[in-house]
Amino acid sequence: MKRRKIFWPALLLVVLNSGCSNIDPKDAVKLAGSGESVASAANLSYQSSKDGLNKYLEAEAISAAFLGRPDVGDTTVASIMDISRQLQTRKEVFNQLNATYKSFGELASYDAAKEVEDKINNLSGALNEYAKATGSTGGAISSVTNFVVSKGGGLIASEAQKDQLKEASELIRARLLSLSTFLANDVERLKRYKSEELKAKARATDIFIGEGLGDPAQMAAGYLADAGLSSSADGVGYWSTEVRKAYIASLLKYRNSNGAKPTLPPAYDAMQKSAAIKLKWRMGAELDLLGEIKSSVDKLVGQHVDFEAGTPLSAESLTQSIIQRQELLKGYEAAKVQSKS
Amino acid sequence: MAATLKTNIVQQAKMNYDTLDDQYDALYSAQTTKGRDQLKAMLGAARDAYWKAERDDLRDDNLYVQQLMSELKATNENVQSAIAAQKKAAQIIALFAEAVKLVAAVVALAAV
Repeated sequence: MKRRKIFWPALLLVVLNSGCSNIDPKDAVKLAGSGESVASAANLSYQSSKDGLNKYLEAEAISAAFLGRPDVGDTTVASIMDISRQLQTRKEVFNQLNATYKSFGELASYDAAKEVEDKINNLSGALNEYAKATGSTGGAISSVTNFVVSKGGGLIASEAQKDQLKEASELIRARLLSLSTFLANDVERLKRYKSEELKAKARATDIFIGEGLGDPAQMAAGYLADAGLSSSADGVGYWSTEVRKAYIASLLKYRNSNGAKPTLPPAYDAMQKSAAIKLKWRMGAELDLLGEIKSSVDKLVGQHVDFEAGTPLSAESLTQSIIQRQELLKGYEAAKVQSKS
Repeated sequence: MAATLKTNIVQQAKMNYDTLDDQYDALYSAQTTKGRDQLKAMLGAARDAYWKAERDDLRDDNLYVQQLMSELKATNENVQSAIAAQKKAAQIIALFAEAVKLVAAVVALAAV
């Protein structure tokens, strides 16, 4: 009789919580992995946009020195520094999102409820800071205070864990929805910054190639190598040295005499065009990645809904396209490093 | 509404800055020293106004701002038409000067 009294309340709690029984902790690990990938990709994109603003200022200063364009004034520098600070605040949101997903994944393995609560609150704080920094309207996201104590007592361990995973997922999802609203404006904004960066960098690159910098031999060797004609005996090095020497000499003469500006040798003209294409290609990949981040955050929201309903998550990773684009950019960076060495 | 105002202003400011930036070298080479200095200052002002528009919280959609925005849109369109029609450099520069002034005024007046 005594044993029954203890058994019934526990059974009742299990029945009441049967809505969580379909939740698979392994799916929580998958979801956490996707969330971490999206957060890191977004973080990298924001860092690249922030770095791009510095590059823009440098490139504008180069154009001012060589082409009679205006120096970058204090007003532009101050605006860009403020924008850069806004981007830093946004980066912090993604740092916190990454940490939140990490703890969400840990919750599937052991009792990490306290960590999850802390991380969700840090994420809420970062989102509120961002809204403040950008003057966004909308209510502040409140902190979670009862996540740790609200679950547990009386439930068998695995049910309590599923219950916590479901609640954590709901809390993260609510924050992703606010993030998605911010991102809608942000992506367009970052695309505009990228277009300014591209324009300024392309002009600065043109200037230096037009000054006789850059090695035409490198470009030529790429084409000649397949035919086995890129060795020093084939004259690639000699040709490039002579072309460069002659061009730079005529350029210096023009600077001293105010005569006619020498025509850009075809090798340098080709280098300018090739550099412009590479820059555009690189920017295109970065812009695609930016667009992908917003849609991945929206897809993550959908995956949270499925997870909370106990629907098994599909095997196909939603972050696959982000990873592919990141690989493209990494490939570009690797090619650049190799070309430098 | 506030987001739309900001988006519209940024769009017009960027169009003004990008078009002047694009036409700058051709206009610069057609100018005397004095004209070059003015053109240089104008491009600097267009750049300042664009980045200020990107940074600032532009929400004050008052009547004066609305009126200036209509003028700015019309002037930006006139700039595009003048370039397409290959009008004289002096005419194009005069239109740019008007557009740059309008952008700076709109950004300053819409900021809260």
